[in-house]
Amino acid sequence: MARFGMVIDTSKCIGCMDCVAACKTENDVPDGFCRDWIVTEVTGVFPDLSMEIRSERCNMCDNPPCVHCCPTGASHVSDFGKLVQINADMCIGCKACLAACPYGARYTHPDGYADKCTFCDHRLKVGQDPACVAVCPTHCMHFGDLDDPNSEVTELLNSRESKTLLPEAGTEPRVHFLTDKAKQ
Amino acid sequence: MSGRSPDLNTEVQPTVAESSRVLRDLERSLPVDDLMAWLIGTLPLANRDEVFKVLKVIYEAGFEIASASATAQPYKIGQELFQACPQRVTGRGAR
Repeated sequence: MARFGMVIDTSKCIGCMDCVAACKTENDVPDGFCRDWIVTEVTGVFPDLSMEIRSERCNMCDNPPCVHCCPTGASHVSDFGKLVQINADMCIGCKACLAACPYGARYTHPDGYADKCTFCDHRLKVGQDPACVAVCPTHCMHFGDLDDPNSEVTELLNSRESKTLLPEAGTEPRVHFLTDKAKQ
Repeated sequence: MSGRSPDLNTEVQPTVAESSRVLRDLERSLPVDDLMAWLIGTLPLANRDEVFKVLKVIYEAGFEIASASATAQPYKIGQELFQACPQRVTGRGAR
């Protein structure tokens, strides 16, 4: 069974927000909400500053606190790609998952249920990439099976230094960010 | 993805008295190690939507609720089977 993940090359991301627009269009995300977003982070001390631009979304964690705190099982790990998904019909809108997610990846849909990135699983099931990956003009985003040693995402992670967000949270994210360094 | 959460406001209406009774019973039963199992036992005649409606009332009532296990377990309401991680209720915070 595949374990889908995403690898994003921060050295190529220009923050154009095409991924955000594509996601909103593809998934009919309501006004005022988004399932993915751009973060610009500046580090260092002047004049030695560096800037990283990241496209962020649900991290599809291997150890998902949102699933563990869901009282009805609406938030669950799907058989398809081991993705963290939400069954809106089971969601009571208690917001426990919103509070549990350290990435702020969820919001309450105006219809009352928790909502977030699905990795466009409806597209994956017909052999397409997630919308954000498909439209990225710099091809900084890569999608695939992290358990497949021959997949593009695995090869990228084996060849480049990478990081995940808030590793100290113990959530084991499946969205990896490549830095500009080659692996030693 | 389009979706629709259960209409917890109009389609299913446990009485205010029933919800209040459950809140009182829960407070008396603390700590509760498995909220869903406790609730199903407390409302043996309720269907899934009715149980979920009261569950939402409990979440909005300011109880201290945390995941008791990362392993989902099966629950049965009527003929309906579903899986969820058990939630522990330890107290009731200030509202």
